[in-house]
Amino acid sequence: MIIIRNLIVLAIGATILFMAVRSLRADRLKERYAIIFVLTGLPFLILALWRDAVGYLANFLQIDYRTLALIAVTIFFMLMIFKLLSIVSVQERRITTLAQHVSILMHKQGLTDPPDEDNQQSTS
Amino acid sequence: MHKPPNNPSPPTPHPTPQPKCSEDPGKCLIIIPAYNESASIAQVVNDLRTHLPHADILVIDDGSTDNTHKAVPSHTPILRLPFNLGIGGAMQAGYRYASIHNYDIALQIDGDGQHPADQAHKLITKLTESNADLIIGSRFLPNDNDNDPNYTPPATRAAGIGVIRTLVRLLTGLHITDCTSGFRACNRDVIKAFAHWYPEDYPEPEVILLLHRAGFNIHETPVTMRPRTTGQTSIPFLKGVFYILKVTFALLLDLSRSPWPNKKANQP
Repeated sequence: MIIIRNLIVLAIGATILFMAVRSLRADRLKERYAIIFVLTGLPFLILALWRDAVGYLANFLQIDYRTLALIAVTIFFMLMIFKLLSIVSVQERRITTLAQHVSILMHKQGLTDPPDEDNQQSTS
Repeated sequence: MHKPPNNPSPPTPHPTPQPKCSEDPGKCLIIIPAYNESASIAQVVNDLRTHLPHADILVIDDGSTDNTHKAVPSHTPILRLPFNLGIGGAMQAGYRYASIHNYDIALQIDGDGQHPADQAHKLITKLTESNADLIIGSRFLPNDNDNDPNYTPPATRAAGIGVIRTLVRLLTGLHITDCTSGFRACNRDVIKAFAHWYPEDYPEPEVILLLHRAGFNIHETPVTMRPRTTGQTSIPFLKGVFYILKVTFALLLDLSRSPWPNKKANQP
């Protein structure tokens, strides 16, 4: 039973890391943002190999209850995700502005077809 | 975007050209956002040329995939966005263009033909004759010659519009009957404000709240609208609930931000 549980946890961690590596190789994720996947996937691998990792972490941080240690880690990841989403939002606004200026400049230059017309992608 | 009115006015076979923006209010730009409106855009542009011959027309092709730009009549300026930005991004592109070219008035009108060209002069006339900075064409206000509203929406849609209308009234004190109408005219101050910042998703109700908070005057005028016959609605039925939630959240959030300088503070 313990082996099965460890295998499940191992699979989750490996899947997260695999997704991160695949996105990096496909240029869909920047290295600086991939760190959140690494920080999420690695604990699963550690937990699969070292059952009492959470207890050790709680003792190290002098937290009486292990669940509180987990909550603290969860809050950390939520803050990371919030930061990443805020970055995405700012970039999306900049892309919108850029697209608007491109279309105005193209009109001014008398160009009719937008660049990269064959690879149009929706941002909305 | 809009549901059909109960009594749509038939297209005028031989429309009479309307006077230019009532006693020459200045340069006037008609902004037509279009996403996959190849079936209707030519008629919309031609109707506007007939009814507002002195106004300039600008079509915003918002990343259409049906060759909408090829359906636009010749000699009509088109801004072709590289990809689909949504209604907010497309409209802001038009307002940026209007600001760069120093237009005095901008009129926004849907590319699907729901906003009849023969109604456009009402908005411009009201804008120039009142102290308003933004005029909204309302389907729900009765016309001058009768007391019946132009449009009675289905129950579910009426409920959604009612929620937004109530929220806008609570937050601004303004009684705007048609908060979601995209048939609008604005002056140069608002053009500059919109060029600087414009909401991206479902922007119409947000604009009312933010302009009001920035000290701009917003009025309505009754208009009739036609049913949508072609293209895709920007708010499909299944997204209605999301629309209400998103707009409600955005309106509450807007209470804490001011994207535009206060108009009154800038006045001498």
